[in-house]
Amino acid sequence: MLPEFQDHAPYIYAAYGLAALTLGGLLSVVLLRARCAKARLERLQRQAEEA
Amino acid sequence: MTNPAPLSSAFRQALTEAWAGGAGAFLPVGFFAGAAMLVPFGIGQGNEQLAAIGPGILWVALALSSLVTMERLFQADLEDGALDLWIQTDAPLSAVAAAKTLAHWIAAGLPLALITPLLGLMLQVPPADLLPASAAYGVGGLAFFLWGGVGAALTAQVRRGGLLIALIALPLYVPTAIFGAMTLQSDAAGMPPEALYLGASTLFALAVAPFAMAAALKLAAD
Amino acid sequence: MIQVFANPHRFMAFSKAAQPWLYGLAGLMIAYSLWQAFYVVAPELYQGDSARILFIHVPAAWLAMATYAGMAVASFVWFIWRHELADTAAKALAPIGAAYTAICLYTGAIWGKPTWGTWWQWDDARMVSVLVLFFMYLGYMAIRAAMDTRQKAARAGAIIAMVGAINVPIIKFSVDIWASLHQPASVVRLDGPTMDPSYLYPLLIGALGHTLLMTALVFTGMRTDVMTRRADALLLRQATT
Repeated sequence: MLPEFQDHAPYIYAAYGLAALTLGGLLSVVLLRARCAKARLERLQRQAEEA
Repeated sequence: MTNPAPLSSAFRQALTEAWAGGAGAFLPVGFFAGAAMLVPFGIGQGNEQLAAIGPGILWVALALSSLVTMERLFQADLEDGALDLWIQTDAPLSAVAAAKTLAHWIAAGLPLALITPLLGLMLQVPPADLLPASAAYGVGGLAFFLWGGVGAALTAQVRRGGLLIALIALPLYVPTAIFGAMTLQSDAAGMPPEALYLGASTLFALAVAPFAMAAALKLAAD
Repeated sequence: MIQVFANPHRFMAFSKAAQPWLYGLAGLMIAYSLWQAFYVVAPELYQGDSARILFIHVPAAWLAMATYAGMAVASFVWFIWRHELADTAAKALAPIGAAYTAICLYTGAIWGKPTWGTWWQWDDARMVSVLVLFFMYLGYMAIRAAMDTRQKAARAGAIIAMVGAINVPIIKFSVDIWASLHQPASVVRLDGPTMDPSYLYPLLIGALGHTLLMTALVFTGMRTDVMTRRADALLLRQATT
């Protein structure tokens, strides 16, 4: 259910939409890089144990 | 005991470097005049319009011109080993960096300030304001060169660091540009109070920038 | 607490345990402030519904400044004591601060259009200061990226962050008196007497929620960095034996 605004609705949605896009992008980049770094470290540790 | 020799040698070396290769120190002047010349084409030839923005345009052109020669300020010293020699001497590296930047300002910054009366005349600045304005451009230019020098020291080992220097130094130019423009807009007779702010911002740069340059040069030499 | 941040092993254990709580609490608090912003608070007397934008704009402005302060402190700690985790923190803080600064800038512009009638107002000192701050974040990240080793990136970043931090008060001062030269009296100010108390608590909780989100993101970024370093060290050991 969408909220009802008296005025300026496009501005409010634009501000929150852009902010959500920025924060969402930042969050996904940070989490993706964390996952990649963790996978790489675990792979190398396994290799070191095998050797 | 502090040995003054590295200071004076760095100072002299910066002067000769600026004039080496013939046109050296004329290049920033040419850039400065060229940039100022473009302004009337960009905004129109109305004299009143030009008089209103002329001094400000010269601040912007001065800030950009100060960056033109910055890239090479410490690069040559890094390449030919002069930097390592300075670090080994007992003179503080911050003093050497300050001497070098000061000499560079005399060679490349002072000519810019000296030509501002001519450019100001073309941009419809009132003739009585030309000489005080030129002094303000000289003082403000020194702050530009000092902050630019910090950028130059940080990027001494970076190839094509010119744009990086601009990105680092331009935010630090803000107070000088503001106080400089306010000094020229002031109606106060004699020395306007804004001129004190301008001088203070340059003194602040003089107090802080040499230490930042020294830290950055030590990094570049490693 | 200092012990936790001085030792990478302890930090990894602590941050691993803290992360879910930080993300969870941040999500709850931001959701609460959004719910308030969209459904609960009444339109502001003078600004109308556009005041709802402040529930993202104000936390973003706070974090734009707080993150830079954190970056400067971390740089200082690294520069004096050479604590690897301090540099790791500074490196992780920069993109987060830049993102919040960008959010602050464009939500401010979007708020300004219906409220002041203009997207950008050069005589508002805060907007101009935040713009300069944004360029300082960009310069910090650019100089780090230009250095060829981690150690050099850390040193160059620390120098420029500290130079920037001691310049901030002067930039702020200069922009303030510059903006005060032509200030129109009619502008409605956020910090004016028109601020309704019903706005205050959602605003504070939103700011706290975004601060927790920033902390969680920094922890994740720092963990990525520590794990990357460990992996690089392993790789180096494998290559040499």
